[in-house]
Amino acid sequence: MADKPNQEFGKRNKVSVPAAPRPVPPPAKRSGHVALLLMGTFAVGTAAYTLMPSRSCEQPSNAYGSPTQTTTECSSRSSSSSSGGGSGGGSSGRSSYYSSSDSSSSSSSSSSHSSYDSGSHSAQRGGFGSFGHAIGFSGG
Amino acid sequence: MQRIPCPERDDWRATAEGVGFTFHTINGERYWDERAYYGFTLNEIERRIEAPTAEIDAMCLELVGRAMRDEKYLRRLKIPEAFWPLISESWRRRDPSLYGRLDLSYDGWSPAKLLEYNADTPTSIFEAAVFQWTWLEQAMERAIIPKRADQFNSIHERLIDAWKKHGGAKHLHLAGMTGNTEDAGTLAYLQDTASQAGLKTTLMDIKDVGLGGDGRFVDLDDRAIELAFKLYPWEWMFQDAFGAKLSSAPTRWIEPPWKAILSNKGILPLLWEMFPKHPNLLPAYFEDDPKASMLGSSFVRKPLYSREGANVALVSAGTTLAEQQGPYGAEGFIRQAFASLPSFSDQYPVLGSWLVDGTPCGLSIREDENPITGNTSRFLPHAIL
Repeated sequence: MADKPNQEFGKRNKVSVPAAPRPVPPPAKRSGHVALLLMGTFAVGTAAYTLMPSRSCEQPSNAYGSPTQTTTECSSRSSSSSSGGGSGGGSSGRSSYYSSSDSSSSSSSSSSHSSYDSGSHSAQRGGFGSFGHAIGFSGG
Repeated sequence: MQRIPCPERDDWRATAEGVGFTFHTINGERYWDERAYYGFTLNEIERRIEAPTAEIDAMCLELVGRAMRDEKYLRRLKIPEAFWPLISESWRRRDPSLYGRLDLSYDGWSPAKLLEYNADTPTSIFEAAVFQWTWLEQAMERAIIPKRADQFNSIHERLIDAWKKHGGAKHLHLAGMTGNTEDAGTLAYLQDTASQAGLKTTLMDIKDVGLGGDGRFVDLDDRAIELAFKLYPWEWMFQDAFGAKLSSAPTRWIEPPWKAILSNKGILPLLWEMFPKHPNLLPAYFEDDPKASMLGSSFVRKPLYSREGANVALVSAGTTLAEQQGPYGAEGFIRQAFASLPSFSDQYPVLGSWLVDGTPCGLSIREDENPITGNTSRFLPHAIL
């Protein structure tokens, strides 16, 4: 959370609309044309690892980790320039969503066992999710 | 705005699966469809989509501000009174929003019209932010589209910036229904953007969120959840057993509780009431409002709470032409003027205009043969030509 609330937050601001198309795209309008690091990920696409985040970050010791959640301790990875109109060939972090061949291993986040038998028994669990699991999807 | 047929990349499925986009095909039907794309001019993007998106978002924030000063808005939205303090506190603290998606009807000529606001749990952000961009780059390289094409899409960069700005040094937990492929993909993608912003993250199923003896929500390692991204609607959290603990627990949520107001279809009549005849709004009324008769016998009927088009009905001349089945509607309905979606090659596109940290920054398009966009509608890429 931001330590200093934005005083403009929640206020309606006048939207400035350009009078005519601008010859030069404004900065940060669109992504810079950055290359994606797909080459490292093409060979890995097996369903068994579906939707696992890849990372340029170290996996913590699994000694205390739970099998139903994944924790990452990451350092910031290279990110694309956001200036519009550029066409550089730099790498982007955009592709690192999925496990790439250059990334460290990651543990499964599949949640296959009951929430009641996982984690510490000092906490109550299962208090969220019942409504959603009855319906089956949550996004829109 | 044009719908332009084009050749598919012959390796797009492998490319999709290589980056984790495994739900490109759902139940044997294409979800990702690059046999055509939508082309826009820069002027259309800036003046017809980007500027109205900012304008609509500003109007929505003004609506929330009014609702915080006058409880009649919360009553009309059927938000349970027990959660009003949670919502108002989050607004008073100015808890930040990460993202949202406005669904717009746009035909290339008339002003874009707001169909609804996915303010709380929008999905399809990975394909909008990443795979659509991949298509643009490869399509240019392979001369499928002009070399100098561009895309309205800085979603990815802005997500990382937003996490840096709002995440601070906190450990971020991301929770949702991980058994749902699309939701799990959205969570994993957002986790990755947070990681790239330098945050420590934990992804977990929403049902694994625990409640400690001290009233704090905890993860499976009993670590207190300070900051949580939840891909799980507020109205469901209110109904769940732990809902009663939300107000006393110190967890800060993204999206924040005040987004429960904006994810409610009841904002459509409220916005129309506040900003009558706004060019980017459609006339809309609560179904029990006598003014609803002003819409005549043709309108779109939407439950206050609904996702993926569920329980939305298209009524024309008093006859229901199309209706998506679903579990919603107990809280009531609104009626919105029927604005037929434009047809491009007998396909009905709906534009998704993305906001990250309050800034319009990207576009996605879903199209369908059916005039109600649902969870089987196909995702087509776009380009600025």
